[in-house]
Amino acid sequence: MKIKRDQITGLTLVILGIILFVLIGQFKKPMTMEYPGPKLMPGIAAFGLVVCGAGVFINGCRQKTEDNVIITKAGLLRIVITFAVLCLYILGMKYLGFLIVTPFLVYGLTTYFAKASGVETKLWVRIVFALAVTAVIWAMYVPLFGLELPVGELFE
Amino acid sequence: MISYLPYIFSQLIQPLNLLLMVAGTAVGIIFGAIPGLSGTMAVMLFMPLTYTMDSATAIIFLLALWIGGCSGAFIGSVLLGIPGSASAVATCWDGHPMAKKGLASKALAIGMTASFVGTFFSAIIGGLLAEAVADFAFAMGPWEYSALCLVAMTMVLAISKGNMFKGLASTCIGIVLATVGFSPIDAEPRFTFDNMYLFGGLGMIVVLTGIFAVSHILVTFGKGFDTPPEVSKEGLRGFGLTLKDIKDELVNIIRSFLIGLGIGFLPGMGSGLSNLVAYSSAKNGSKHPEEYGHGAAGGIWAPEVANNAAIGGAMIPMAALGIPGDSTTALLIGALTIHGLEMGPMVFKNSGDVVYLMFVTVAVVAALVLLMQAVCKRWFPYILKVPSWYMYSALLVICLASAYVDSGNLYKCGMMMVFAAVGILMTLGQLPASPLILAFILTPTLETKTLQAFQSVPKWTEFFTRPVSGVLMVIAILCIFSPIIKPLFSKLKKKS
Repeated sequence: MKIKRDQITGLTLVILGIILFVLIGQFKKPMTMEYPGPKLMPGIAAFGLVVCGAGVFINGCRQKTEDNVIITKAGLLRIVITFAVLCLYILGMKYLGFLIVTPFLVYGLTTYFAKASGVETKLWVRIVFALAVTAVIWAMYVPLFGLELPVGELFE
Repeated sequence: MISYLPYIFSQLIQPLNLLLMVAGTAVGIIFGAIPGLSGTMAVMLFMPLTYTMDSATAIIFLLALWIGGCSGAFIGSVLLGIPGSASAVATCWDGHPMAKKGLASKALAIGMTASFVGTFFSAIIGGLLAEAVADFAFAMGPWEYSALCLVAMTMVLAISKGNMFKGLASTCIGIVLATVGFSPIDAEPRFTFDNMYLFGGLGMIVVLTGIFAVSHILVTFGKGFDTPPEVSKEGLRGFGLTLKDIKDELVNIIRSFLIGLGIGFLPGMGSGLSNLVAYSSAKNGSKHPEEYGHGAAGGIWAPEVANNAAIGGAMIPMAALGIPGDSTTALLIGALTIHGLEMGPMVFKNSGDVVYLMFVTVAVVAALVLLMQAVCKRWFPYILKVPSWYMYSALLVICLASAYVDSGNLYKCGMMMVFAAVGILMTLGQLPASPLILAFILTPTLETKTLQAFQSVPKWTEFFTRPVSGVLMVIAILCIFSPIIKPLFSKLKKKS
């Protein structure tokens, strides 16, 4: 029997609710009828997640057909790759700073996004765009609004 | 209010404020027009830019983004047949057919004028009513306030399509995320795992930008970007609307305005619902309902007046009660708190000048939007042709920069990626987003008020024995179970 999407969602929500119950049990202040304390809201949420998770799971079991695919496997792979690139970008900002890493990220993403969409874009346009985006965002945040962007540990 | 006019005027004519108003409006219109982006996302992404601004400047900028976004949503609906946001879904049904008949200019002019009428007059009415509502709210104790927060959180469930359990689960996730950090009143650390970055809570920008903006961009890419559409630029000169066109639809305009204002006022609801209700009322009340869906002018007037009238309606509970009318007002409440403005009944006593500045700004921005849209109408097709691969890569950088600015460390950028993953999983599990936003914003107030209520009278039954909170609790319970109750009612109706 093929597992349906709602069954996985429901089960995940139930597990999340149970984990929350365990964590809430570690709070020091007790929950009483006179004063519910810090356990009240997380407790309601955990209870809600277990009940709703069970509801979603049961609905999934009763479903005769699976809904349409939301994202294909190839699409999921694209998401994972972009996600990984963004994580690397954060790491890069930590050591090299915003100004050095951002043009590479923007260039890489525009190239990847365009290629994955089956579109040919000009190299010089992507380079100019990457440099312009970096410059505009930096100018907007730092000199214009007096905010800070990472300068990189190597340059601090 | 009149005593605040010199202050309001002095703020609105400041060059920086004027500049930010124009820039915010333009950016808002662009975000509203492009399907997939929205005014809410614009407010979310640009909010950290306001951290160094004074509160009046920040409010003007954020409101310009919001109003521009709300008003721009019809552009995609008319020219592409794809709504810029949920608030303009019904506009597609007649806006695009009218454009395909070669009347794009008229359809856009109706959209612009309707947006102006809805926003401008609702802001005026909102400004006049908000203080009276706040005075009434003074009579509310913590029990009533808690019940009102619950109503706001549950009302959105009543209109969420599909699975009730998924809407509730999304609310619960929002509650959990809001409870990270020290608890109110008791100061007990919750879900912090001895991590110093979690003691102060998760932070609105990090959570909401991660779950909604970053995950939305990644999911859109995962599904595959649409190629830039071909939009006809013909017939977009001139304003395209006469006074007679407005006169012919006057009843429809007034009815839609009242629908929008009323729905906007209800906590938790907003323009996403008002445009649909107004459209169906306009169709039912029309002498020629058969024309609807084929380019009827009334089918554009109704949703556009209603979704923009919801703005003023939503601002009333936002200012007077501190309860958001929709997702964007929830964000604005968070943003204003950062600027030291605690929305609620006391705000009129403590910062009445700034609150009235908000309403006047909305009315002024409504006029500015009309002016900008009328002048720039012929360039609308170009907005819709921005290639996704350029736009989304730039937006991802802005998202990460916002997270860094919000906290001043890269740890929060990493945390935002975690929430982006949560958002992607929510999309895969088809969990709706709006309940999470409202729950995340409202939970701190709900929790504090509930605990204060228990400190005053330590009895659960107070929720139901006090008249106002009792009624509100019944409404909240009905909202939670409405997906079950509604089909039962319709079955009974059919039988009878």
